[in-house]
Amino acid sequence: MRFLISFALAYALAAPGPTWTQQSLPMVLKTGETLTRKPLPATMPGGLAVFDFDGDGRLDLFFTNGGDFPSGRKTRPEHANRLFRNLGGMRFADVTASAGVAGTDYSFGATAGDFDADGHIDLLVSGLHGVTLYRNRGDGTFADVTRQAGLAADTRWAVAAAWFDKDNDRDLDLVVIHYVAWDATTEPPCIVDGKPDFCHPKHYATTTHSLYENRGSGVFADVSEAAGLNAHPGKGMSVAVADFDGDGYADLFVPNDRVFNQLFLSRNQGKKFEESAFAWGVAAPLDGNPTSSMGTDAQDFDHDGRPDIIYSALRDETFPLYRNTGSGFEEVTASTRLNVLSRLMAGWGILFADLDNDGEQDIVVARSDALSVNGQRGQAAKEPPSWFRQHKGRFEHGTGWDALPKAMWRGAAAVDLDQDGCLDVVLTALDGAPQVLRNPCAGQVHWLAVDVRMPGTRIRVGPSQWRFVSSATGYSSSIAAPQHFGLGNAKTADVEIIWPGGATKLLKAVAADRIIQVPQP
Amino acid sequence: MTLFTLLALAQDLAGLSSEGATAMRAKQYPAAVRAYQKLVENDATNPMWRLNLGMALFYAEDHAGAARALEDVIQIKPQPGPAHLFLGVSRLHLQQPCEAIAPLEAALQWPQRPQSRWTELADAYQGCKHWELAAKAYAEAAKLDPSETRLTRQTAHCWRMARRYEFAKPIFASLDNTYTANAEFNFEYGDTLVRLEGAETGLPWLEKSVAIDATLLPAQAALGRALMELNRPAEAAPHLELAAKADPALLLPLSRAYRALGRNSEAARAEADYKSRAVMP
Repeated sequence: MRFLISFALAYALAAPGPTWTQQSLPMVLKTGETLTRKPLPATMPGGLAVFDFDGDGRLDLFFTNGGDFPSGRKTRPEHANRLFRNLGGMRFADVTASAGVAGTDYSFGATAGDFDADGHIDLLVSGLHGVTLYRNRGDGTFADVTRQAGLAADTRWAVAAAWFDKDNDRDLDLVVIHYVAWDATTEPPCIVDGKPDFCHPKHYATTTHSLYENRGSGVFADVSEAAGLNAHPGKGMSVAVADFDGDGYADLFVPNDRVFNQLFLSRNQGKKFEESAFAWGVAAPLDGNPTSSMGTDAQDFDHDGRPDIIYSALRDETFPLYRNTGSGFEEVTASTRLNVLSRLMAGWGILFADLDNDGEQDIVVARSDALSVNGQRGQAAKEPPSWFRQHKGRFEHGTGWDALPKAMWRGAAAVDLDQDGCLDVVLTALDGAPQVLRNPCAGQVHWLAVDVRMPGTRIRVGPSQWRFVSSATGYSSSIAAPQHFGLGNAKTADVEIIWPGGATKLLKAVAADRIIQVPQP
Repeated sequence: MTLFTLLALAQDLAGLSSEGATAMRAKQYPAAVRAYQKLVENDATNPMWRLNLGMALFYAEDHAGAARALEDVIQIKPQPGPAHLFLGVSRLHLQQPCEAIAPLEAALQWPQRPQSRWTELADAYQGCKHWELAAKAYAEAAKLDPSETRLTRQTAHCWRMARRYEFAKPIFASLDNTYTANAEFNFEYGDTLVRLEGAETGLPWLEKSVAIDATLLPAQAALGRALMELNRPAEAAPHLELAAKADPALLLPLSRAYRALGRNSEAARAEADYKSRAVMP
């Protein structure tokens, strides 16, 4: 059944400067946590995907949802994952039932990508008992093809995933991030400062991630062992995909929870991956203390054409930012002032986005602690979301979000939902409704959006703004949308597109304030 | 039992009670213990004699015995009172801070509230690493005795340990003149400033801390890390070398310092050490 949603809850966020408006979507992210029962997965749902599932040119919203324990399944209608069709004008319709994407497994992450190259964007949902692959039929409905695709065998807890073309053969391969070895029957009871709470990750064993190669005809082969991933267990929370070493093949960065982060650099044309986090300087922050690394994003924040890395972490760990030097990473959390800005924050979803269209990548973060609101930290576990505005390589608190409420924010995405030329922000929160924050910047400055969907594609706009198309962003989330560039006062810009494999297209003096579609040659 | 026998017994008990009280006043605690033990043997259900026995044992520094006696008192008479306070303090003496919390929290409900009670509770929270609660309890204790800067100092210390640097900072600032020659204080204040405002701001306090006491390894570590944040590896390396002996996490910034100085083989060795020795937090 489909129904229109009016934004009864829409209201202006009182703050000086441009006014963002906040709108709720009619669903509640159910965690399954109770006052006495704190299964670890209950603190970790909240991934979302933004993609145009019906090909109408408007970006739709998919939200994962939890379930019950100890089954770790969806047992009631309110546990359903939800798909909201964008009707334009910031109106959305819940089309979950007709689309067939409610799901049955306790879900965490969502990844959008056209794995069968039929022009319709498909959806992969990561869950407590493995992944679910939905093939987009192109008629507004999806088919669960997990088994046919060869993805049903691995029933481990999958928290995040990314579609990417590992071998530049023009089809999408898949990496699935597993968090820890977890079993409801052996979950230890944990008391934090006298109250039941979620256990520290040290109570759970590490596990490995999975790599699937697209063999065509909608079938995938597990190549994790051959690619070298099985030799490197971790406690992965999310994944960022980009060509970090500039060899033309996509690499993987996996932030791990209280163990060393992993950087898998592609070798042998994508057949092998070499774990290189230490050699490249991203295994742990400069102070030597591995963090509770959470969500991550990889984009070029300093205009040198190389993908940099940011990841979120918990209070007193900062949100480490690494500048890619071409042969390694240099931590610049302190020199960019992100250390003092984020010191007292805990974050999950984190991503680069030019919210003010000034041509510099800002940072959006969905904040909150990992501990329970009814545990020792109490309401202090809730935090407001934040954005940090970049000004010439240094960050400052962004304005306009001061009145946003504290919540257990998890997923985040920045996309132009109303096609007004400004990136809006979508957030999820535990035991709360998803929120759409409408960006008020329209008309003030110029912008350009480049609609190239193939992950791994690099896009340059103007002299030095770069975007790296990726299906994974922030915490267990995904954006398959035009790449957005703020142009400031410029009314035109040159656009260069470099697809995986090296095909290039240069467009001169493209007029601003529009979305351009560029097909892959 | 005849009336005569009962009267004789009552006289004996009164005598013992008086004997115990006299011994307590004279600070002859073993004698008091003996008197109260006899009384308790005579009537195990009398909470007053058990309380007196517990207090005598406490002052005789038999804290395990005192704790047992006071637990018995609370069994008989659970209303908050002195038994809770002395039981809590006995458990603190027994190095059982977590077990001391419940009786000390109950003692707060006792209508006659000696000033020291917040301090004892704060000590218990601190010993049990309930840092936020400890900070709040020390703050309450400090309100009652503003001249006692140790309590304010402990408040700031516990906020810092709770990673609530924003609360610790103004308290540290208010104590800066008082503790200017204290290495530990300068380390904690400097480190708090580094975290909240950046390495440049906190550096003077960290430098002062290690100048006062070069053996304070956490201060050496904080100074080394701050200098690395400021991209001063040559100055950072000696501090990190010192502190890394106690904290292998520092081997990573040390390896980065060596690498920045072109000391590549030492960098590789430090990084290898770090990988093998670093303890996951």
